[in-house]
Amino acid sequence: MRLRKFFFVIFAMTIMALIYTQMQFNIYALAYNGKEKENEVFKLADENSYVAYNVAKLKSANSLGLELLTEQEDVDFLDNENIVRLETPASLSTEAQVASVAPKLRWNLLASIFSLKSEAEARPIR
Amino acid sequence: MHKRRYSLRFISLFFAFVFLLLFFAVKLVLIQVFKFEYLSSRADKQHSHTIKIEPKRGTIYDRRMRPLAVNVPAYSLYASPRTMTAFQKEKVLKELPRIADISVEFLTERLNRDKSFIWLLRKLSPEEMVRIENKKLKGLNFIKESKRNYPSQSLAAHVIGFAGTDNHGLEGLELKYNESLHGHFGLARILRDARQKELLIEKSFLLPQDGFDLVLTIDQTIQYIVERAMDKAFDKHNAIGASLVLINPKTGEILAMVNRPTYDLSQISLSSTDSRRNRAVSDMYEPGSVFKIVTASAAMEEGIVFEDDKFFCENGEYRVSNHILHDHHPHGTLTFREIIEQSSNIGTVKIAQLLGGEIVNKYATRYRFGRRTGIDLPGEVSGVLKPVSQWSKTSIGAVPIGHEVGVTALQLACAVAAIANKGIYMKPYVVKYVKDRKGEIINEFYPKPVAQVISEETAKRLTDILVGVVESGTGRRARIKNVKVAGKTGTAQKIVNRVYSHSKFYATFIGFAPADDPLIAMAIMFDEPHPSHYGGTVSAPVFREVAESVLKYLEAEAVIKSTEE
Repeated sequence: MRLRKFFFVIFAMTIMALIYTQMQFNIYALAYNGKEKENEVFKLADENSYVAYNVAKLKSANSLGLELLTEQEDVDFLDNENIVRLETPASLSTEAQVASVAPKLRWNLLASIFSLKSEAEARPIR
Repeated sequence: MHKRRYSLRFISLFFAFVFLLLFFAVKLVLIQVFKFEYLSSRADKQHSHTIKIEPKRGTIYDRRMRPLAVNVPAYSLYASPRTMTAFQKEKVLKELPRIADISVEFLTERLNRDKSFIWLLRKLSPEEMVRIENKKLKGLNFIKESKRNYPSQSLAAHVIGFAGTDNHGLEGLELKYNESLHGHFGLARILRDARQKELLIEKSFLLPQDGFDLVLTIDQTIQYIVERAMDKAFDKHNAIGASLVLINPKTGEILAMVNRPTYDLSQISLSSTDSRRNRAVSDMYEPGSVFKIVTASAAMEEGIVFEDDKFFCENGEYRVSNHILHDHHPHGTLTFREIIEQSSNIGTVKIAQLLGGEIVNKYATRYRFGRRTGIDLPGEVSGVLKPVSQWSKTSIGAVPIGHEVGVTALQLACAVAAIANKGIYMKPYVVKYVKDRKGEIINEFYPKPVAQVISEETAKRLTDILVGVVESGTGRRARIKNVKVAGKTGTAQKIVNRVYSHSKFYATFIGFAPADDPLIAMAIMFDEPHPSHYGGTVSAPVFREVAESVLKYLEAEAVIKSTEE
């Protein structure tokens, strides 16, 4: 009996030790994987930096100027007179006034019978 | 007898084992107790590795948040000659010079050194790195660093400056704001395995503090407009140098600053010291007739002279002590307004003689000539303005017309901006604010009025006269359709071997527009333009070209902004 107990204890300790060792292996395996993932992330971040830099370079006034103006030297900024502003006339400046000139909705008997809601209409946004 | 011998052998064996056990026990105690510290630290050195984490250098943006200077990752190539075999070195010597910009002699010298680490090539682009990596050359490895890059290449080169290989600023704003841009290194103590491969387990970690970003007052579009106009004029007039400073007169913000010759920020090693100099702040010169704004301001502010007061301009020749002063065109009687419009030296000197040297000097000081403007750029000089006690008998015939004084293009821009800004001199600045990566503002710079140089009334009257210079005087080539321009031309002989040259000149134009509500003020200077050398023919057309485009751009921006609001 004592020998059995002794073997049982030894067996249990060995199992625990093996589990502990396995966990340690897993930690290191995760650490290696993590490092690889980190390197991938860094690589993507680096590529992103290069792309962002190249975009900034192409978008820069220097680069755009070379592209646009090398062939067309007379390209110029617009004068104020070339800019058209569209404004709401003062007579239509309030919601009510807009609504008053909007086409009037026709009450539809069939639509009101067969649907629970009223006919769809565009509502001005406040 | 037999029993006794067996017992002796057994006892001897027993004691031998006990002795061995004791030996191991003592050894264990020695290792685990007495040598614990030493062996622990050795193991730690093998397993752990401290790495310095480089902070990201701050980005420099223009006023509309377009990047002008950024950091991108770069890979530096190193070799371990001590661990390389002769065959490996041979292979490197054969393959590397074919695919990278490195000479065989340099490489041979490096590989022959008895070192475990030696740099071969610094801060390679990703394409270069991949080319070398594909060759799989043993004994070579890469370290990731970061490199300063400039998307706009030579745009605003003298303002931005550049950083060196170790990411420390060497010129311009990169130097001036190096501490803010650089940031602080971080540290990480990480585990590595027996093959020196790093694991993602950090024992301790100190976050790096990334550098702060700078947002400038410079507008990339306006800077480009100015650079393009200056390039054309610089080539056309065969000058050896040129500067243009464009300032918002109401705030002191520098919208553009251009110098020629210039250099490409992405190819600094190919540039000369001469091309890297920010002439607009560090070169002073005798400005000539543009300095007459000082004399005119003094005369009107002191109430000595009025616009229609007449002066006889001696038909082009006037003696001042032992010196004969000449006008470019001989004039008879001119009004004060006409003296400035036609830039008569004799008329101006006569007015200065009425004022006296003290008053002329006082107003020159008020316009902050002879002093640094305090702009946030390195290398600014104060210029030269002699106190009256050091004037000679001929100085009254020189200083009021812009000789015997040394000024910079920036000082002239600020002076004319003061006139545009109702007589208020604003401190010029280039950095709008400093922010961190998250966008939080660390330090903000605001428009700072420095002094009321002249009264608003005098500024208005002087503006009127300067409009006349452009409408009907020497600055006609600065006229813009439908826009009132105020300006002054200047053509000054250069001093060569202590004598005024008859073939080398500075051609200057200063002005602002629109005259009734100025949005921009400018100073333009060309050094030794030829064959044409007058401010009115060389610099004034540049003003027109730049101002026309910039005003349209600013108006379009204002329209777009008001539409969005």
